[in-house]
Amino acid sequence: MKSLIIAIVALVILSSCEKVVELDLNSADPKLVVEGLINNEAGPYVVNLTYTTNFFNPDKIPAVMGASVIVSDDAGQVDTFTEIEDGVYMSGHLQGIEGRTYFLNVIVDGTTYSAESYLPFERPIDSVLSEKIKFPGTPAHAPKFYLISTYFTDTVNVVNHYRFRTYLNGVVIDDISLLNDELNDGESMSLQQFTADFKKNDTISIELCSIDEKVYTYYSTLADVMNTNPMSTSAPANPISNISNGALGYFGALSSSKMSIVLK
Amino acid sequence: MYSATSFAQSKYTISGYVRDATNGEELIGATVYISELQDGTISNEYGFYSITLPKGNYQVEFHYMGYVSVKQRVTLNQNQSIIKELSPNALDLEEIIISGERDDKNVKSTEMGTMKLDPAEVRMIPVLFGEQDILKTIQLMPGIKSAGEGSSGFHVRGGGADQNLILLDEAPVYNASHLLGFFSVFNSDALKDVKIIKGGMPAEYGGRLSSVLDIKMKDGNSKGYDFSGGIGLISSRLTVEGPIVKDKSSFIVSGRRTYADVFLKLSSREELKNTQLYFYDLNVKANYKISDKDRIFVSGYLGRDKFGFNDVMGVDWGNITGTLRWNHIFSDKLFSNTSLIYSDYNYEINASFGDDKISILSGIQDFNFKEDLQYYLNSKNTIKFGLNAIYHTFIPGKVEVSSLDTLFKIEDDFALETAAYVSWESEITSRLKINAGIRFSDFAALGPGDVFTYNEESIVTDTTNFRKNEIIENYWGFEPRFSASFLLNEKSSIKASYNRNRQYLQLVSNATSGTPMDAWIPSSNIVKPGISNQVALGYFRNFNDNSFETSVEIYYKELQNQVDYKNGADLMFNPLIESQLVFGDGRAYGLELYIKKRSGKLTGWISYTLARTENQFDEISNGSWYPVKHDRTHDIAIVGMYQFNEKWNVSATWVYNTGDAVTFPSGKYMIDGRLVSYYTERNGYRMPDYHRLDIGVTYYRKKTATCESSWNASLYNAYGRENAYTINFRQSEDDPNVTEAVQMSLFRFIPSISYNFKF
Repeated sequence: MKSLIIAIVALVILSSCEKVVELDLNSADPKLVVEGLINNEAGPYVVNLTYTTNFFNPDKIPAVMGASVIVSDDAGQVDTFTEIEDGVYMSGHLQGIEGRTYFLNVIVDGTTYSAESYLPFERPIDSVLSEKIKFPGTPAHAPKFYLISTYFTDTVNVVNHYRFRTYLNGVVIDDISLLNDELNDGESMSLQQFTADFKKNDTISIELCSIDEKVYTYYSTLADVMNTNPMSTSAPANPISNISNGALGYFGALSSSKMSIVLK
Repeated sequence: MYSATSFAQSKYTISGYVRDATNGEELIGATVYISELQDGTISNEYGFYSITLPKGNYQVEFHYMGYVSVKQRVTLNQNQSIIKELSPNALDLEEIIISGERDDKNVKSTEMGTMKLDPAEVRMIPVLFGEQDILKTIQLMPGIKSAGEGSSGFHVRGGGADQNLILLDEAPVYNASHLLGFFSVFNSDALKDVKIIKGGMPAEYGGRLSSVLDIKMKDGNSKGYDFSGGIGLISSRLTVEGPIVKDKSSFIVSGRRTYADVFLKLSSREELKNTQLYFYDLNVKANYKISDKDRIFVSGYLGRDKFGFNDVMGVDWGNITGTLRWNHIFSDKLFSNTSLIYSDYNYEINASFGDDKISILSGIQDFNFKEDLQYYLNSKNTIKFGLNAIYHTFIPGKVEVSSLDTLFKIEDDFALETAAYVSWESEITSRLKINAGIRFSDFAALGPGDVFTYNEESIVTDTTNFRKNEIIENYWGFEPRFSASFLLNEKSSIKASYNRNRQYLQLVSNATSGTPMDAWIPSSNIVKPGISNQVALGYFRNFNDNSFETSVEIYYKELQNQVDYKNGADLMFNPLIESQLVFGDGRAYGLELYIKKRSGKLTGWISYTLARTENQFDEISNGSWYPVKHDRTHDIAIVGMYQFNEKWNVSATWVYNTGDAVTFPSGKYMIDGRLVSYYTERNGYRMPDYHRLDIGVTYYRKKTATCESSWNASLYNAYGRENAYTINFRQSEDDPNVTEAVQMSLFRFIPSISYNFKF
């Protein structure tokens, strides 16, 4: 909100100007980046391994080839992933099951990186409703837009963390809306979305993912970095990863439920 | 033998006030000089002086910068009260006679790291949108750095923007900026005296680590009515002052309001038309002389910023201060001031969504009692002592939703901050002067409330409930202060100072400065009070009969218990905000050069600072020392004013500083189909160097007995330097694999014009 205010004030009163500048940035040593997701739907699941690269390097992000990737769970499943294309590793028989904890073990050039993530129980979406309202405070004849409200019920006495993905006609348009039940444990909760992008006859799908706390922390710190604005945030820093040994990225287990509506 | 003892016993005191003859305003820091004894004193912050001398015949001289000196013969055989009124010099600077005794205060006093601003001089200096602003002007002094383009936030000798004690008629001002920092809350028209102390703070000041900015409002003309004001591009000002009862009681009312929003209404763009954007200030003061020994003052400040967008979202914030003071002269040697002070800072965010209206309120409120006593033992020794007690209420956040009851409220915090001090100013020999003092301060965080303890992963491990006024945590400590000056000869001196300061409230800011949403966090079971230790050494020398003033100062400052946010801190109205903090140390050192030309047609100064400011937090950059954002190696300001004749004055300022330390990415990677920056160390890069030239011209209309007026035109950033305000990174629109850096700059060639009048 703060950055919004500053942006508006800057727009309104200041004669600001923008230009692309040349900057000389250091080249840091490449670091391993892990991106792995297990869910409660049928596999296969994928783990992507890449390296960081120089900031102004225009080439594709380098992939990590020939790594060993093993995912196991606390019920005795062990699955060795196979590399199906450069840096993309796919599971075999592994099946994500609610209530289990999953362990990732990656070996790259003799260094082991590990992570664990709990696969929470699925929370069903109760309803997705839409209504047409005008932008608050605008005159009576102002155009109306769709307000989408997604309702679900939190489980009592369990710490829950949620991530939403919103699809517009099958394309992800938002995937970093986060909620937790710190202040309303066990209550009915809702997410409201209001944009001018929604039109009549569009299909809106909402996916509610239950995630564990460390994955939630990763997403929320990732959101901070993505929104980096030197005036609005503290000094930028890397998102807080759940992977050991200084690797970037995250390994997450999640359960998801989905509901769609067609706008009328 | 008899005559000797009799002589020793027969000492008498001359005491009284020094005032401006035109409006009756007390003059602060006027010199009272006894030429026979080559001894003297200066008037205090209420214009009162007292000097005790052996019986005899003396010539007493009264001097004040910019005023015609007055001499008076006194036969001293009993205690005497002398109230002296001095007349200001004419504008023609060539006629001003520079006299040796009065203009060498900078060399002879024990004050170091102290700068005084003359509001008249501030008026000449060109500024953004022509809004005169003392907070902008002090940033042109050595050791004082701007928090950024157009910002009224400032850093003194490496200290944080929250480490400045900003006092308006003794009331602490918690947020001194308007419009997100582009303007300060101080309306120059209502101000009488501005003093900033960077080091060697006397013991009467406390509560902040790095500096004191002591601002006194005018008392109001006690001789006749005055109307003055100005009309500018951004705002207009009007001040009315005059006697309530002639020579006994006077008042001043000064107001200012911006009208940018009026122009927005004229805009053809709908979204601008519905934008509300303004601020206003109101300064009010009145005083009454009950008797020769008693005088009361009531002063107040009210300022508010309003920003609203389409009734959808609004932010409004501001300060309110009020001061009730009673000056009492117990005897001609003992001066007392008792103050009751109220300060309040709060902000409110309003948003509406559908039929729901949400409001978020946050702020800080103080009730403050102060008792200060000055005892003029003899002409060589003055003792000051006093007490202070402040009851703080912190409102970290209260959220209300119109359709529900209060959604949730973070508990208010309460605290009692108390202090006692004593200081002794003495002329040990004719060359050596010292000012030694000690301050004791205590801070008690009080109930009611729940107090949390956290484990290393920021999870609450324990909650303790405290009753009303029960002490949750108590901190106390001594703050020794010492400064000394040694006169090498009539023109030069060396000075040294040491001070320790304690600060019990810290502002945890995640932005440059002056955003209204920054939170003041009191010391608690988790947050320890900040402590600073500073040593400074200086050489002061005047040239050409005091027309040039120069100084060299070096300082080293150590800061303990500094606060910063954790990486990825969750801040907005978090009831467990203390779990989001990390604690560390700071250090700052530097060299300051200053040369000022005080008289003649050309006046002005050059200041240069070479400095380094670093922090060390275990959680940041692997625990190594890293430069803080406002660490600027070089900082230069050149200020020049040229008075062509009675009608024309031109002025120019040029500033240059090393770019701020900043965190830029040293790599990138892909997550969830997004390009993400990879950071290696905190503040490892620099923004581009900053420089800017501003010029101004003032034209004075012919002055008549009742009326004077002037036109002022200025050009900010005269050569249109595109100084980087922010640098952001983004994926190129043409090729998502290509990343580019985008610099945003503000304020190129900002002209302004204003008209000022007084009648």
